[in-house]
Amino acid sequence: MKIDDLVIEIASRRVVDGISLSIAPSQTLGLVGESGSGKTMTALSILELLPPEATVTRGRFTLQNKPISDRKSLRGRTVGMVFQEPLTALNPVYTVGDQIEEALLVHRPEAPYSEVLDALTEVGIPTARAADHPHALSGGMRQRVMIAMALIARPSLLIADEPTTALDVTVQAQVLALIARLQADRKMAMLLVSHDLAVVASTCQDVAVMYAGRIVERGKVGDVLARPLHPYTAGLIASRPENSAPGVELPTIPGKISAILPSGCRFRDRCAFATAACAEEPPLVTRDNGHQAWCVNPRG
Amino acid sequence: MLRGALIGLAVLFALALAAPLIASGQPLLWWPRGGSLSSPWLYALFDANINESGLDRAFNAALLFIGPALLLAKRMKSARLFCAAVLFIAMAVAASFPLERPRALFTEEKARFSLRTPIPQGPHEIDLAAARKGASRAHPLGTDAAGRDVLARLVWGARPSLTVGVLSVALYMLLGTLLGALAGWYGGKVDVFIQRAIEVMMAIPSLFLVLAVSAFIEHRSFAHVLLIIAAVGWTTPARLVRSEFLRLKNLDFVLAARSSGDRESTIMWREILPNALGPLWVTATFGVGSAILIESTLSFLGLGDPTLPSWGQILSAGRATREWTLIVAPGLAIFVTVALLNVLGEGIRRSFEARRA
Repeated sequence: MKIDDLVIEIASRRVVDGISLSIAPSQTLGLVGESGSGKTMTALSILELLPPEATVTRGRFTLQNKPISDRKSLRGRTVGMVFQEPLTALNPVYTVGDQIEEALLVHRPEAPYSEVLDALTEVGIPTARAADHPHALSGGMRQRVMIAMALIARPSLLIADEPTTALDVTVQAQVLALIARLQADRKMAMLLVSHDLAVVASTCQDVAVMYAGRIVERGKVGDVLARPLHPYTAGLIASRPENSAPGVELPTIPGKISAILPSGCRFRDRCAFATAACAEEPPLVTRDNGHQAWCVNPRG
Repeated sequence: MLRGALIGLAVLFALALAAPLIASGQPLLWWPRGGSLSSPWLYALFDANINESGLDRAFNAALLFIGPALLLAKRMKSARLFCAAVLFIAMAVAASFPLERPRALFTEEKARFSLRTPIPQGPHEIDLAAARKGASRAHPLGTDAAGRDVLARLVWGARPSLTVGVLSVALYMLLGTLLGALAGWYGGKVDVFIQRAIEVMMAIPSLFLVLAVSAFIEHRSFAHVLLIIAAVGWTTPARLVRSEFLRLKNLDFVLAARSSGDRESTIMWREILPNALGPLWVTATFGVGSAILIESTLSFLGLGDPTLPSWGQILSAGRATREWTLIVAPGLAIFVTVALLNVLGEGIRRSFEARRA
């Protein structure tokens, strides 16, 4: 799956501004950024699930080097999707078995119900729970049902939009392990949207960091997290509570994404290293290992 | 409370269904001298001269067939739809094709043996000799100006009253749900158009609208009354369903259904609509109560169907006699029915609130 030069506009404001991504088969790409950076919009645009006020005004989507003409036709069959809120992502009036079956029958009307039960077993839910309504399940179980539903038509790419954000930490680890196992079993590619660097570090091979609609840095997870080039990435890593010493105030990135973006580097109004040169479009910095960043003053 | 209201309403509907068993001018069994045993009552159920209204004949068909249908449906779960269909067809046939063959008239004197219903007088049977009488042994609630038994009319009157309530509400619920769903789902111009239509309807006080429209119809039938009530009632469910659609269509399960490849029509009718129906049950229950009241008002003012003894008609006829039992009895019937429906609606509303909290 490749996305080239994607632009998404809401009321002629570019919320995603010319980003490019590529996900290799059975690889996981983490898409990281704070709220409003455009990561969810990017994920939704792949299946044409954007809200009506947002439109894709530019961009090419290719799958195995073939351009995709109708992205809606990918839904379920080629690309599955898991959402953040398992509480609202399942329909409260149907049993979970019926919902998974619905997702299956859309693509294969002849499929037997036993496949639904197999799918539940695969995500670690007893088949007896198929007759339960979503409210009778815990958050973790609901997210497992979501995963079973997303994977029932055997897609080759899974888009997971903050799949563990709404879950307890212990359940988070289980769900991530489940996703990783299923991904390996099925040799499936995955796009993991998250703001949690720990989640990205433990599940992804590649990572792309987004800020205000643009990708500011990308590369192998190990390289990016160990030696970030962009001050924004460095700031994100520094502000993780796990990295702080007791008694010392937690470092933060001051401010928030501004409504009126500055010219040149969009992070420049919050950046401690900003110089006059940052008012121009930032240059691409590339390291030998494929690690890339768009910055005038790269760290490291 | 909820349970009591349900039982009370079930009793009311059973009474409406069983009206011919309680009050009929024809004996259940009749054995005339020089003849054989027969049931004039059974024939009368579908006789055009005795049961003039198709509504009554449909109810009578339901009375005959509902027992076997329920029994069969209980025995064989797969036959449920079949039973419902047979019952419906029987009711439609009874309503459209009355028996019109002339037959030997029943008389008490010729009988060797006869078995009567508790009230031996039908709702339309006139006995001028006994007109404008108060309560007596023969007529527990007295008679009206034409000598018709008020208790018989009261029991038979449950049929048109309850039918108007239930059918008109079912009709406007269907219409309102459809329009509300379209408005909430498509938004934009569709929404603007439907919203303005709702506002125009709501700007006119519904009772005056109903009265004005009724006054323009020359030969008012039962169906007219039903349609008029349905035509003014649809705005409430339309607004409810619209707001539910606006809320629900932005929830993640809609996005999830779409991402798994569901078609838009599937999402609209199968994913969102069942979630939007909850609050409608409350509106529907209260709606039946107010529809019965509107029908009573129309009938009382002489704008109803004059051929059917609805409770409003009985009240109106009773007022003309100035006999207090004739006013209190139908008034009480209306009051009890509407009160039971309101208690039921309140109970349903509370149980939904408990589920949300």
